Amino acid sequence: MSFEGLKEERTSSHPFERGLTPGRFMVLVGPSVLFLLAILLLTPWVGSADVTWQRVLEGASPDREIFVVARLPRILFGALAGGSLAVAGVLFQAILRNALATPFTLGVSSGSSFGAVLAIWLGLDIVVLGVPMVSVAAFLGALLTILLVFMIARTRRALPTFTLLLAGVTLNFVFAALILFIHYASTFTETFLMVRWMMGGVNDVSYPLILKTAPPIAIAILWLVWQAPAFNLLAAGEDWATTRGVNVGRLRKAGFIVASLLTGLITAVTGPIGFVGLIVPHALRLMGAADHRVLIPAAFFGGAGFLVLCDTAARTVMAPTELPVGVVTALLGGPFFILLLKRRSGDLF
Amino acid sequence: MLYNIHKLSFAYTAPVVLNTINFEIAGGDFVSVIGPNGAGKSTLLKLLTGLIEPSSGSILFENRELRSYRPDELARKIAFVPQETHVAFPFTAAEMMLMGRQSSRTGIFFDTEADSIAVNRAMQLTKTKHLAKRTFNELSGGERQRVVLGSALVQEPSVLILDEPTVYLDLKHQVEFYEMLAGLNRQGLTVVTVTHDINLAGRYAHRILVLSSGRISADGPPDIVLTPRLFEDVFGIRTHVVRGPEGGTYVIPSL
Repeated sequence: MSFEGLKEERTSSHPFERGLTPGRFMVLVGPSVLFLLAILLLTPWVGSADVTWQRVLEGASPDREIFVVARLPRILFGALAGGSLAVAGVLFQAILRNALATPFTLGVSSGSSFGAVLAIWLGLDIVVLGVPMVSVAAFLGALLTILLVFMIARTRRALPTFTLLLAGVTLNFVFAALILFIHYASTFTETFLMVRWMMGGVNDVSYPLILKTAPPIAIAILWLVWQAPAFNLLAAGEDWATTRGVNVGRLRKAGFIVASLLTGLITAVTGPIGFVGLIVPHALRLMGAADHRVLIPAAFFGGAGFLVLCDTAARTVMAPTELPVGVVTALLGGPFFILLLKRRSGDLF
Repeated sequence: MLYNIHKLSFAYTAPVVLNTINFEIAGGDFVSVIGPNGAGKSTLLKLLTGLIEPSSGSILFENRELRSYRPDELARKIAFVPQETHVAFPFTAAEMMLMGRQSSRTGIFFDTEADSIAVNRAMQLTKTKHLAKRTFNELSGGERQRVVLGSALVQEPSVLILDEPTVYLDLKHQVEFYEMLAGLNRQGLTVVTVTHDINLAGRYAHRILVLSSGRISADGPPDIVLTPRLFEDVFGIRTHVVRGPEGGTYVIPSL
């Protein structure tokens, strides 16, 4: 086949298609970055106590304490958490080829909740070497879920979509039942701790924690961005990807593990925070960012800004009482999810 | 020979779908596989694309076992067009076509000049340039199928394998699509289709391969293979076989 005729084509009425260029990347990812920057610059000044930047910069003062010790780490970790959860959502959606999939769909969140609840029940609500044991148990719960999903969904083909979904739904039920059982067997104090944990919040964070969690998250995001073209094909279809040279089985397994680890890592610290992984990717796709090379970074920045915004609302709407941010995202996310379902009539995303 | 198929058998579980079949496909040919429902046509196509592996026997592609190719090697030689493509996400037509470059991308992250040349050429061949920015899911059936064909051409394959590509298209789009395939075939692309539309096969294919009950029951040029006798034997139906006013072989079921 020849290349003749391409020269005239370039000057025809339809522009020469250039694909994803650096310029187009900036146009699509830029708004999410600007949104996050604006949120990071504005939200530290919002809260139940009035803090002014003059007094923060003056040196030791209550304002400085509130700003540096209370608000800033919470905002920074909130950003890390929101970004990771949004990217995990993107991945679960690509793997299951379903725009309504979330980290909850495959049971990872309920697995880590089970781990945390079990730890509280066993009296492991302690800190060893600077690491809370409840978080360790929650992370192990997420790992256990990965293992179980793999065992259930492994058949002739590698992790078929439908079996994965069923495995996730089943695990959600099993973990929910186990959590109820532990609740029933626990004391009032334990139950209170468990319920608070399961509401999901970014209240209990510190600078060392941020420094420990940021590097693995950064590595995961970089790997995902590098693999983004293959995730495009996987999201488009299994045969579509295979006949275009993608090793679907391997990519799907790797994607599932990375998404689960991201979810597990964040959930271990914050408890389950729902809907970030659903709302953010969906909004971005509506704005034209379906290409995973754009969607993954945009979801990270957009999700980071979104969760910090929700957490700021959680800190202020009932001030001086602080709501868990999981309550705020769920209140926003539930109706949003129903809206999506209603709009889905023509089998559009 | 592009393909040498030798004693090929395939079974999912108990009933054998394909039973020790032998044939060859020459480069540049236009082959249509026809046969009754359940004859093993789609299975044969999946075997030829490497989506599934034979239970026994061998498929040589360019004198090498098909299963010994890496997925990305295969993607640069064999492209596949399914009956229908549904996508859960709002990819644009251009993005769908760019995915055909997966195995030949040279850029680390962004699309390169080579990527966009390949895509623009495929758009030109499939008349889809005006659809580039449209969401793939919102296109009509005929437009979608042309975009999928375009994405297959972006792979710059030596053989194009199509599974009932026009089954959901109206008459005009069926003919348009097969005209496009014929044009590509004249430029040297080998085309293998499975179809229930015997009249389209008889008009465009150079060679008809008839599958029934997992075996090849006839193989040759349309005007020789398509006879009332064949339809009686293979499909169990009485027919008139006629010449078209512009040539080609047409089959009319008799009452």
